[in-house]
Amino acid sequence: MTHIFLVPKWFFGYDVVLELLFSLVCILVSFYSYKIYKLSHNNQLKIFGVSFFFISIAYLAQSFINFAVISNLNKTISIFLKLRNVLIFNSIGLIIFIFLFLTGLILLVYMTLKSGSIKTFILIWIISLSGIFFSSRKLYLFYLFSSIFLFFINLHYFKNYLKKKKKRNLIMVTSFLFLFFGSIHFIFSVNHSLFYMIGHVLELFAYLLILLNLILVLKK
Amino acid sequence: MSSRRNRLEVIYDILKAISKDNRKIRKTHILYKANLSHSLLEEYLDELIEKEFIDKISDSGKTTYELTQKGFDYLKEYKKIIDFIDSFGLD
Repeated sequence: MTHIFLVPKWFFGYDVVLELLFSLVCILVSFYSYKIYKLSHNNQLKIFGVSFFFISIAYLAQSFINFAVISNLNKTISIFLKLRNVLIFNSIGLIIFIFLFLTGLILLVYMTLKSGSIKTFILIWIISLSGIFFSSRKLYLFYLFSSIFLFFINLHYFKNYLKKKKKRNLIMVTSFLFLFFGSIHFIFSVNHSLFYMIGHVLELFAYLLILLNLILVLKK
Repeated sequence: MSSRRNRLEVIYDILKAISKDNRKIRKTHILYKANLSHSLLEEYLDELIEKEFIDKISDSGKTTYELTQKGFDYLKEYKKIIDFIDSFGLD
C-alpha cells in the first residue's frame, strides 16, 4: 500500500487532536452501551458497544500514526521496528486503521440489518476486507466501502426517525449523514488535501452530535 | 413499537410484579400481573433465572420467585436502558 493522505500543512496536528477526540467519543458510547448491556442483556447493545469500541481503537491508531509522522517519534519507531522507511510504517498503520474501522462499521451494518445470523457479518467482513487488501487502490476502495456501509446505516436511522419522529432520532440521522459525507470527502482526499480537512470537519460535527445524544441520555 | 422493545417491557412487568409482592411471588400471580400466556411466562422465567435476574425458591412443595440484586438494578435503570435504546436507534 503506497497511498498517503495529502494533508494541508496548516492542518498538521489538528487532525491528530480531532482523531483523539473521535476516539474518546466512541469509547464513551461503547462503555455506556456495554454498561446498559450488562443490565439488560440486549444483544443489539452488545453489538453496538463492540462496534464503537473497534471504531474508537481505529481512530486512536490513526491518531498515533499521524502523530508519529509529524514528530521525531517516527524516526525512533522506524529504528525500533527496523522498518526501512516512513512509507512502510504508514502502510502498516493504515492497514490496522482499515481493519479496525471497517470491522466496527460492518458490525453496525450487521446490527441494523437485524439478520440475527453471524454468517451475514462474516460474509460482509470477508468480502470487504479481502477486496480491499487484494486491490491496488486500497484507500479508494476502503472509503468507497465505508460510504456504502454508512449509507445503509443512514437508511436504518432515517427509517427509525420517520417511525418515531423524535429529536434524538433526528440527531442520530444527522450525525450519520455527516459521517457519510465525511467518508465521501475522504475518497477524494487521496489526491486533494482540502478534502482531507473537510472530511475531518464533517466527522467532528458527527461525533459532537453523537456526544450530545449521549449527554442527553446521561442527564436524565 | 418493535418486538425488541416489547421484550424489554415484558421483562420489566415480570420483575415489577415480583418486586411488589413482598419480593416473593408464585408463578400464577406473575401470570396474572404480567398478562402472559403460561408457555411464554415459562420461557421468560427460565431466561431471567439464567441471566440471574431472579431466583427460584422451592420450599415445602411451594415454588416462589424473588428478585436478585441484578433484577433490582434492571428496574432502577429501566428508564435509562429504554432511553439509550431509543436515542441510539437500537430497537
